[in-house]
Amino acid sequence: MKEKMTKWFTPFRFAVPEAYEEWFEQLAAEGWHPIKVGHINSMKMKFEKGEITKYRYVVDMQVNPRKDYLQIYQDFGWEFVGRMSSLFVWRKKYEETKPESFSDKESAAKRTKKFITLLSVISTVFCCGFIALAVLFGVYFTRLNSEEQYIQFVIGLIFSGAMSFFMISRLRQFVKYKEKHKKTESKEKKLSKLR
Amino acid sequence: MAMNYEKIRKRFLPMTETMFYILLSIRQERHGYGIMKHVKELTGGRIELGAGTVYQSLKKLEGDGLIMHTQEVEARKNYIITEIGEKILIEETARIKEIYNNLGSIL
Repeated sequence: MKEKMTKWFTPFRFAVPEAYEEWFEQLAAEGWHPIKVGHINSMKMKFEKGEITKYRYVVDMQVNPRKDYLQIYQDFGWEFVGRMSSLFVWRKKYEETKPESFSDKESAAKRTKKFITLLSVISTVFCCGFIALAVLFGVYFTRLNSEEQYIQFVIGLIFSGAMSFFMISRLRQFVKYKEKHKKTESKEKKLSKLR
Repeated sequence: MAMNYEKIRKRFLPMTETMFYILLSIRQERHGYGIMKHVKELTGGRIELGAGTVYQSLKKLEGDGLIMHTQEVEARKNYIITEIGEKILIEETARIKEIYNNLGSIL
């Protein structure tokens, strides 16, 4: 019987695809591999302990992939791990040089931007919902005539408030990630100058 | 058409090295993986395009009419440059030549 573990809501934990990939790669380096990646696994993903493997993981968002999308990745030697809605997960074993799916800065930045755009849209929707509810609540506060209406309002406020908070914290995580990377980049530059 | 071409010029010029080599390599019909191999050969192994980059670039180029797909062979789409794509490529080449001509004082 192989050792197993479960991770919850994994795609929602990472604001940037690079961070999600790193997380998968780290687990693979410890011998943990996802058993199945399908739509439902965005909520609950099971991992199985196996061989320690040097994998490069790629998480790619494709809302409307064209016919040759899968074929191109497979031609380049990527193994299709699965897809969760529009999130495609790929991996490739490697020895020394880490393979990249987005080989230049421009296309890598474009890929990340797609994630952030989606995240911003969702955040805006929830924030607007929260604000609209709060305003309505304020306006109708004195005119609510049953406890039921109260409860409905409060539940709505809590839900949209919590979602707004969650989504905005993802966006903050993204900003932090970018800053961290800038710092390490400039540090490396300084070091190379010293040499 | 003329208006449309102006928009495309603004979107693509100047071009990234990646875009330039992809466009250049499909003056002859090729599929995604074939493009990567060809570009690698052209640059002596310096540029090794990734799958995501190739797919993303092809989608953008086709969306703006610089290239089109031809036939499908075993789920692989082949692509070829269009007239508009060729025009853009020539303009970009002229720009790069200009840079090249201005390098005289350096080397």
